[in-house]
Amino acid sequence: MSTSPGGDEACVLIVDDEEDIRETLREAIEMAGCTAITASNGADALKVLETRRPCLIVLDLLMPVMTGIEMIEVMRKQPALAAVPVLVSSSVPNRAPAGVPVLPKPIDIDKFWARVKDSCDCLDARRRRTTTST
Amino acid sequence: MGNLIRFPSASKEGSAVADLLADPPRHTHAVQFYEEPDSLYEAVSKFIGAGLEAGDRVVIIATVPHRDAFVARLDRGAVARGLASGQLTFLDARDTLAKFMVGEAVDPDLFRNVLSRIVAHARANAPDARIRAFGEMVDLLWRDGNSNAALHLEELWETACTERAFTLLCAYSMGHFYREADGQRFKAVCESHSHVIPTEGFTRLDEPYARLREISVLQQRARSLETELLHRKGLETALREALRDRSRVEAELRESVRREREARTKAEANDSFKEQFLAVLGHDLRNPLNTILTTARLMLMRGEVSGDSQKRLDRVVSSGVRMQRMIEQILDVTHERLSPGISVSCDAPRDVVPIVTRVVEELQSGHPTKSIALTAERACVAPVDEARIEQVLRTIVGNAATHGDGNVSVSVTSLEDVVTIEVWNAGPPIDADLETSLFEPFKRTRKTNGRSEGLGLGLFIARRILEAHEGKLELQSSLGRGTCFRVILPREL
Repeated sequence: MSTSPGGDEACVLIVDDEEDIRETLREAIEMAGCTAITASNGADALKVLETRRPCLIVLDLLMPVMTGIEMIEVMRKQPALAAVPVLVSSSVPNRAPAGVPVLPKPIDIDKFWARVKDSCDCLDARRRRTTTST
Repeated sequence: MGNLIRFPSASKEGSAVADLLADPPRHTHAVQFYEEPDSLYEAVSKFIGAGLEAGDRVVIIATVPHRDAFVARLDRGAVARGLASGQLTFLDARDTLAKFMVGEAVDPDLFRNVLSRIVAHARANAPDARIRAFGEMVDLLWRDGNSNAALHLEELWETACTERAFTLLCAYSMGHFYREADGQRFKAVCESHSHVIPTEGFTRLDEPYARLREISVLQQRARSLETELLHRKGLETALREALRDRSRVEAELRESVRREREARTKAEANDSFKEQFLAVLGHDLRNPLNTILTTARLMLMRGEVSGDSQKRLDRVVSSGVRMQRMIEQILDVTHERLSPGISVSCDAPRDVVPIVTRVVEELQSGHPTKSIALTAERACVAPVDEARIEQVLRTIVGNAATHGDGNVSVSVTSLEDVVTIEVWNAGPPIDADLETSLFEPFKRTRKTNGRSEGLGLGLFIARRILEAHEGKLELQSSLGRGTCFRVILPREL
C-alpha cells in the first residue's frame, strides 16, 4: 500500500449521515482491498481528521450538524487538510463547490470504484470489476 | 299684483321707480331686489326722505347696520325732528320678528297684535295720516333659510296693507335666489307684492322700446341659461355614468388583481410542492433502493450465496433495477411537466455507433432467445447526450425485443444532415388509433410474460429527449414490413 499526495494512510474516509449508505460504501471499499473509516457529518469527520489522514474523503453534502460544503470550507483554510482529495457524492451534485470532483447519487458502484481508483491508488489488484446484470 | 313693476306714468324729471318710492299709491306693497347694499340704502333712504317730506308716518323695521346706513344718507335735522315728533319710528327687525315667531313658524295672531301696536303708535297723533313702512324681516327669515315663514309673512303683510291702508316696501337680496330651484319661490315672492322693483341694473326703463329691448336681452339670456343648464345636466348625467363605469372598472380591476394574487400564491405553493415532490423522488426513494441493489450486487460479487439463494438475489436485483428505471422515468416526466423540461447536455459531436452497439449487446444478453442484429456505417457523428440517447435506445430496442415477433434489426445511417437509427421488428402492425396514444404518458401495453413492462412512460420520454436534441422519433408500421421506430438526430445543433 502506498500513500496519496494529500493523505498518508491507505484508507478512505466516508462521510454520510445515512448509515446504510455509509456501510454499503465501506463494504465496497473493503471489497476492493482498502481500509474504510466513517463519519456521520462534517464535524465528526473533522474530528477524525485530527488523528487520521486518509488518502481520499467520500463526502455527502446535505448532512445535519455540519454540511459537506461547510466541511470543505474548513478544510480549505487548514494547510494540513487542504490537499486531501475529496470526492463529493450527493443527490444535489450541482451544489458541490467548484473544482471538486462529483459522483451523483444514487451511486453507480462501478463508477464509484473507478473514481476512487482515479483519486488514490490504494485499491489494489484484488478489486474485481463486475458488469451489472439488468 | 304683477311680476314686473307696474309703471305709473313716468314723471318728467325722474323714473317710474323714483316716483313709486317718492309717492306710492295707497295699499302699495312693493318689493325691492338688490345686488349691492348701497343701492338698497339709496332706495330706502329716498323712500324715507320723501315720506318725511310728505308728512307721512314712517316706520322702519330694519337691522341696526341698515338703519345706520339709511340715516347716514338722510338729512340729520329731518330725522331728528321726525323721531322727536313721532313721525319716524325705527324698530329692530330681529327683535320685532321674535315677537311673533313660534319656533320656525309665523304666528298670524301674534303678528296681527304686533302690527296693531305699530300702527296705533304711528297714528297716535295723526289718525288720518298715510303710513309708509319699510321692513326687512322677510329678508332675515330668508337669510336664516326659513323661506316658508318668509312667504307666509309676505301673505300676512299683503292682507294687512289692504285692511289697514298703508304702504309697505320690502327688500330682498338677489343673492337668495341664485339656484335654479329658487325660481318658483322667487316667482311666489314677486306675486305676493303689488309692485316689483328689479335690482339696480334695471331701474331706468322708462322708454317702452328700451324696456322691450331689455326684455329681449333678458329673454335671450334666460333661454341661453336654460339651454346651458340642460347641457350641463346632460354632462352631469354623463359624468355620473362615467363615474359609475369607472367604479365598475375599478372593482373589476381590484377583482382581477385579487385573482392574480391568489393564482400567484397558488403557483408558489405548487412550486414548493413540486420541489418537495422532486426531492422525495430524486433522493428519498432512489437512495434506499440504490443501497438495496448495491448490497445485493456486492453479495453476488463476493460469492457469499449459492444455488437457489443466488437466483433469489438475482430476482431482488432485477426487480430493483426495474423499479429504479421506473423512478427515473417518473422523475423525467415530472421534470418534463413541472420544470423547464427534460434536460440534455450535448457535448462535442460524437460517434453514436458505440452507444448503439453497447445497448444492443446489453439487450441481446437479456433476450437470449431473440436475435438483435446491428448494421452500422463506420462513423455516425452527432452532438448527443450519451446517457440520454442510451436511455432512448434501451426503450426502443427493448420494446422491439419484448413485444415484437421474431428478430430485431437495428441500423445506424449517416445522411447529409442527420443521423438515423432504425429499429425494426416483424409481427402484426400497431393499430392506427394506437399509434398516437403510444407516445402519451402512462399508456401501457399489455403485460408480457406475466410481467408489467413499466409505467408506459418510455416512448413519451424518448420522444421528449429527442425533441430536446432537436431531433425526432417516428413510427412506421405496416402489415408486410412490420414495425419500425426511427430516431432522427441532427448532425449539427
